[in-house]
Amino acid sequence: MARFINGILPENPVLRLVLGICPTLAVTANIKGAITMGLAATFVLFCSNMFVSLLKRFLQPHLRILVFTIIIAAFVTIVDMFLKAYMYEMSRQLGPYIPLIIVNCIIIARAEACASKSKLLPSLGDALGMGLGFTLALCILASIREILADGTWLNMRVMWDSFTPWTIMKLAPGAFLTFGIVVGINNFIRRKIEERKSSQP
Amino acid sequence: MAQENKLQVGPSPHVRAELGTSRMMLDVIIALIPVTVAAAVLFRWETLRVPLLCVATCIITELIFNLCQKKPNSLNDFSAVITGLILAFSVPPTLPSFACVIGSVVAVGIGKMIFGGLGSNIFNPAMVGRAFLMICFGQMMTTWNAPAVNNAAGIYATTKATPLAAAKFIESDEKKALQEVSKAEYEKSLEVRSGQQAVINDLFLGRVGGSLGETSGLAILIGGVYLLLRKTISYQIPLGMIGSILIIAGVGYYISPQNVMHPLGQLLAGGAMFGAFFIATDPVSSPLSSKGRWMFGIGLGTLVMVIRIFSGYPEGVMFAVLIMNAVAPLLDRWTVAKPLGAKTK
Amino acid sequence: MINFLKQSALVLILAVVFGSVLALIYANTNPLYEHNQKMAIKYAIQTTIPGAKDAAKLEVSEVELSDGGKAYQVSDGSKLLGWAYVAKGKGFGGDIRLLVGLNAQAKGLVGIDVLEDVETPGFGNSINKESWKSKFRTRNGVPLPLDKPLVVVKRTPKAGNPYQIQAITGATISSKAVVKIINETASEVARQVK
Repeated sequence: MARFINGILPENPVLRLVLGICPTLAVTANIKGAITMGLAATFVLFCSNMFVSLLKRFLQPHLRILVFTIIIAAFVTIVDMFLKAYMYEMSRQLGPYIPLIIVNCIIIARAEACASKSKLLPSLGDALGMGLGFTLALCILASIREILADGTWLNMRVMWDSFTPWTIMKLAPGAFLTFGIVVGINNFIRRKIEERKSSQP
Repeated sequence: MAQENKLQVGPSPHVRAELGTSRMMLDVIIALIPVTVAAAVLFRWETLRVPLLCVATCIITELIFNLCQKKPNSLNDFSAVITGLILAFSVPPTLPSFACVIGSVVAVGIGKMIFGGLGSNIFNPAMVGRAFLMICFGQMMTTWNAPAVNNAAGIYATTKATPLAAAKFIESDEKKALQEVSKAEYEKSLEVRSGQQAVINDLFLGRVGGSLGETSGLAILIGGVYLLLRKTISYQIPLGMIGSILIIAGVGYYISPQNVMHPLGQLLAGGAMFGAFFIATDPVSSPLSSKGRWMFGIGLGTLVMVIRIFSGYPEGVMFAVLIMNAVAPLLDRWTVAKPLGAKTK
Repeated sequence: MINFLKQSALVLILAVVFGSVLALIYANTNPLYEHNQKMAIKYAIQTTIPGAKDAAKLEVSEVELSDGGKAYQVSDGSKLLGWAYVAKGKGFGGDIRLLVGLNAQAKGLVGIDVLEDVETPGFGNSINKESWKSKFRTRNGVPLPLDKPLVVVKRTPKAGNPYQIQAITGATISSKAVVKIINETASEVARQVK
């Protein structure tokens, strides 16, 4: 349980550990895509952590990365085929970024740092926490970008009618700017909290 | 540190140097007065809302950032005012107010304060703001109105394209179609391209469509010469930039007058003059050594011409400045001045 | 050798297990995927060819073209509605893929749809807008002629001149790219399917 909470904010993979930046920048132009991406990664993370944790006794040190990659690639392919069959539009929109989950460093980092050393339950908790933390971070970025770029949130109109869309937010520079600002704000808040903690007792 | 101890202050009397940051910045503001007057005359008084809004927003943004970062108030170096003015003069006079505000916030906030305030910024803040607006609100940033003075005179009253855009107008495959649609416009763009006297005069006085402060070559020249005389800006950057634009445009015009505008037209149209005197000379984001400044200026002029001739954009001063800003630290390192008496390799 | 197999046993077992699981899932999802792809083309055809109202009821048969591409013969079951084909070309940011619709006699252009583009948002990607695509529709029931190439102009075209297409403001290059793709392919495809 502690592991679960750990992944969401204190060690949020995107905002604190700055891992998995490629999908973070690429698929956060709208929220639907971000949620799909986040959940797909969570699923892969959950399954790979489960398998790695179960198989950790059999892992050969020099073969472990190979084993991780086989497990991750298998589940990513499953997700990809599922999306193509049941959510065709979304899979078109996310394009190569679903197969690219294979090389998402959050997943391999958790397999290496956590699942290959912990029991099943903690690694599952860790996977869920990290996955949801990833999804949350993507959603925050995507909300900012979609509201500014289209004036909508989950395709619902939230800005006034005469609002002029900020095209830059749809493009890569907008992603980098938003990402930098959100990480900055997150760090600022954390520092404030820590200052308060250290001054109280 | 040992090094510091060697710096010794001699006995009085000291020579007082007036040239501080705020003094330099004040000079720039004074030099911008003719441009402001030209803008007011050419585009009517209402358009002064753009500089006023930009300057006000820049000042407020700097104040807020200073408060958040718990830094001492840095407004008295006037750099925020200048960023606001330069941004305002490089956008179309019709730019909606909210876009002015956003551009100014980005210019000062992201272009300067996030890097650590004046002196630490890599890019020219005003150009960061302008680039943001250009990508965000492309349509607004490329909608040009003919100056108001022309409505009475009847020259170019209907034309909205800037001279650069007009010169870029014809490409061989659409020549015929254009001639069919509007003969007058076709002839006009030929006229602009070949650099006829009347067109050059209009460009020099600023009676053409364009950015608020960039149209009048005369006003910019007055301000620029003042800055040069006051030694607020060094002559290398403007000279290098203008020289290379003239040379490249001259060669291009000689080789293929079909595709390249007349050199004088190239110089006076768009933001080249304004860029050379006011934007590129920003002391923070340009090189320090004399050699580096020459290279900076020549690089700028070359990039401007490359973008104007070969890219999809009619104007390239903004991108040229941003690219060269990024190169400036390298130029500095490359051309670092040898300390007196140092060994040469 | 034995040692080697022992060490890699886990990898081998995993590969076999996952391989068969993937094959199973693939067998189940791939028909759906192919169906999706077909429907996507039918929906695009629906917006391209006038008269094609219900995508589900369209009958689409493929015709081989000489360059290896395909043209789609579209009918509603009883009547030939028109022809459609996918054309590709360079845009401002990368490749543009268009679905171009021709009328039943393969003599005129009746509509286009943009299947894929990486044009600049806010400028070039306005080629996805209805206001731009509608310029390639039949005008008062008359399809755009194919005998001469279409020309991009910057101002309102002369009334009654079907060869002029007004460019999108700020996106001349993308507009020209679309028209160029059509010019390069339409009359050739029309000649072949006739």
